[in-house]
Amino acid sequence: MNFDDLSRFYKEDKKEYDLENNLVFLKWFYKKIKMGYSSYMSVSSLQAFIDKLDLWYRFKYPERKLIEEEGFIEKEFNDIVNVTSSLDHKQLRYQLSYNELKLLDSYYRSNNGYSIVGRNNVTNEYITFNIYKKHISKDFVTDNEFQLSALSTNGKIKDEDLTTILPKEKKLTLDEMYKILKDNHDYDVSELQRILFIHNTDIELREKIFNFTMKKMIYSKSTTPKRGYKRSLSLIKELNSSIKNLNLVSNDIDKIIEDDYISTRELWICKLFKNIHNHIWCKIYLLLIKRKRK
Amino acid sequence: MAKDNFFSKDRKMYDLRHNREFLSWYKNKMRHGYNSMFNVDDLQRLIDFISMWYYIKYPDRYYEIEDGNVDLDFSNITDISNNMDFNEMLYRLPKNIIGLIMGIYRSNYSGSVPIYDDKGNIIRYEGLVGAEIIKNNQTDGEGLSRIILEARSSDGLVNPNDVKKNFPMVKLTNTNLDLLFDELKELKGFDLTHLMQIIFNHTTDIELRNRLIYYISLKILYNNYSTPYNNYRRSKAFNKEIKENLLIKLDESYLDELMQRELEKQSVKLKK
Repeated sequence: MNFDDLSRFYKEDKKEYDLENNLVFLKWFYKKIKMGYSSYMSVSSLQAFIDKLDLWYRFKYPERKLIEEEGFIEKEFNDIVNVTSSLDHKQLRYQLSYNELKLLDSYYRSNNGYSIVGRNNVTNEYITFNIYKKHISKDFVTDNEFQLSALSTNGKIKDEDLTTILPKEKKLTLDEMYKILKDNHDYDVSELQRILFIHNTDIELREKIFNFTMKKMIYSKSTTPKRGYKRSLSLIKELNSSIKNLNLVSNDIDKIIEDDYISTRELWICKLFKNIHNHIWCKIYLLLIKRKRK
Repeated sequence: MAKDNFFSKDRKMYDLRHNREFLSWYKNKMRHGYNSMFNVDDLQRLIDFISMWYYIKYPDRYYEIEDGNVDLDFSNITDISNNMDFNEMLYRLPKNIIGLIMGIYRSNYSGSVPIYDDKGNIIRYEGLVGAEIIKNNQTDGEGLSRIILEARSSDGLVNPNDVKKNFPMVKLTNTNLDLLFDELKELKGFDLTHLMQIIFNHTTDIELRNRLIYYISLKILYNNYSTPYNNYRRSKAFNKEIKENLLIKLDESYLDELMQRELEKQSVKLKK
């Protein structure tokens, strides 16, 4: 990639990771807040979180290390200690603030809860919420209140609580319970609905933050797009293996690398094909380039 | 501690794009012939990187443990702050930035020589810079002669034998480029433009570095995501490591004064 290719590549950078100027994100974020979402962090704190994650991966996979992997060895740093392996997920968590950890985990949350210390001193956090059932007597309508608890990590409802409402069901999650009760007009499930809305928004926000971080890595001018891409793939691999139910995919960054990381010469040839022959040749040519790169 | 009050004093001098005083100083130096290796964005990235480095090296939890508030989730965490030494930080910075931090002399004539141990193995490479000096020998009837004087890039030290050979009139035995320039400028018959450029670049590099150290220390101090006291400790740690590794003197009184003032304010509030 020459200078022209690089500047063309960086021109494609929409700087989505710059949250204060990312209008699409801001619109989404404040719309969610208007709908009742309570975020763990402000926009500026989320920005700091992105910056921290970006730096963590730059620290873990230093530029010189990646250059060495490409075959260029600098003798000046012969005696450097390789700390990459000791920078595991626990170390990353150690660096993060309380709220950053909360977003990273994105467990189910509600206003009330309790914790139980189980075997091997493992603490299980439970959230509690209420479901109301309309009780119609002769003269007036009253609400029967049911308090339920669910594990914050996976949303599994306690079976003994579940039997009070759905005696036949066992091992239901909050989502499954909502699906069953949402169309039943005898039940008021607004609290449950709010918990699910907040949880899903947490998950969505977390995914956005990780995606922005990956884009920041790729479009960083302190490195090359390829090395940024390598760091991004490591982020996906490490976070997916450490965080339950996280399914980060590399589609977005693959697309950036495949679409934008085409040299001007390749683009010119592609245009030529497009003009002289037809579009299919251009596609075949790009496919061959991609295969060659892999 | 009154967090908001403390952070409201931040003039954001570390935000170079909006630091007019810095920008005008930088432009002025370039107008006077300073060949900068960096644009403002590069320097901003350096400030951001190093301040974040210290935030990761000494996270809030590190100080919590130091203060006796152990978070049980991290009670058996391995402390990596010892691994994050100065060399590790340099390892993660571009070569020209390392040169700026180490305060090396630079020139368009440069190279390096290997340094061997007793067994003949290469231990490291020593950077060299060449200073071009034009000698006017017209009085001897020889015309102009061009001398490329080699100096160690780390401290500008010149080989005494080279000095003796090329400038017999200079009496210094152990000299670096700055001292040599001072001697030669008094004598007639030398064109020292190139040497002067090297020295000007070097002194401006040092001035720039010291400014950056000051801005980094302020950025660490005013990190909004931590407490003023932890930031103060981080900033002191940064200054300490800089002093130890670069062997330079730093004025840290502004840090102590800021913290002292903040603590005094707090104690007055408590008395009320």
